Amino acid sequence: MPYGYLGLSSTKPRRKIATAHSGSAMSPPLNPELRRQVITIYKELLNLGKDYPQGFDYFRPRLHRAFMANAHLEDAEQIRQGIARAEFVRKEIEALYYLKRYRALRKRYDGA
Amino acid sequence: MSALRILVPVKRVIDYAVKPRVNKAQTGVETAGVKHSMNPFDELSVEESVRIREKRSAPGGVQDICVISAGPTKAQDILRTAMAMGADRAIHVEVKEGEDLEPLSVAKLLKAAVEQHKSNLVILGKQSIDDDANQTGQMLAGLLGWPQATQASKVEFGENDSVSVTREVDGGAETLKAKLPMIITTDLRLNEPRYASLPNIMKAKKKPLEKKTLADFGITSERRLKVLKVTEPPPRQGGGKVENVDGLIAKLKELGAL
Repeated sequence: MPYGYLGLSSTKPRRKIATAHSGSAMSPPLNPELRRQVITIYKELLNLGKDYPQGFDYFRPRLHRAFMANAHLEDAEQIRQGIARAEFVRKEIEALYYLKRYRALRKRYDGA
Repeated sequence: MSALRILVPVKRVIDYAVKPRVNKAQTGVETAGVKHSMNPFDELSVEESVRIREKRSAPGGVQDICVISAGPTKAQDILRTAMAMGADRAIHVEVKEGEDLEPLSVAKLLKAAVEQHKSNLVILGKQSIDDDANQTGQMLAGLLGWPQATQASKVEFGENDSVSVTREVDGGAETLKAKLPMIITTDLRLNEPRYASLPNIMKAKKKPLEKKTLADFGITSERRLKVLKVTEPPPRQGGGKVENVDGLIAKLKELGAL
């Protein structure tokens, strides 16, 4: 099964980074609520990645890269789109895990 | 209409994605250092009980969802996962590593637990993917004298404590109707288990987890079955290619098919 289709194998900028607008010596985040949402979804994805078929070590750098690629975003609407994209990926990964297991079990127990 | 008190037994097994290896003594499979997770069929039963609550499909409502597991200390991780999925509380029955209970002992343990916690619905996985016994639910139903619906693919609630369960049988579906209290065992197509979210995992850490021993339930681990030998299945014999029709005929004659 191709696991790359989730976009994790690509390096294209897709999501935004948790640390947007919050560098150590920089001004306070433009939008604390959005920043919180980004961090939340990042953590959720990290947690999901622990079960990634190719391993966490494969998953984590790619996830990080995907978020870093969007770190520069400042427009609230674009950030929201990034979060929506991340939510979509989360759902896809959950569906991937479910299907992978379902197919494995069906093969073993249904003789299909 | 009585409120449901659901008991969901779960088992910690070697993860489905791991290829089990037979140990050197040929007495079982290697478990040390191998990834473990909740038995997939038990995930279905946890999910189903949580869905009954969320969808309010039971007219009497769901009062309690209790998960129970007998196993080594690490079985508590599995119980936490079940609570993160939505169970209310957990019971851990400490059983030493390598001293697994047989289905009959498990059924006796569950019977005692059902009586202690006044459960009126037990949803079990139809079998665990490690020993594939497919016995515990049936034995428990027998011990309790409750109706059982095994391999459920759909569960619906009706008037007066009645429950309709659709089960997959060869060549179609069969619908059983029974009254609470009852036993249901889950099949693969019952639902799609959820993935526990981080906030729910955190909340699950605060949910109550009772620690018990077999003696608390008046059970002793009795061994009725003896494993003689565990071996790997023979490696698959690869197919051979024939050059032409004559080759095929010769091969078939050689095998005695012609």
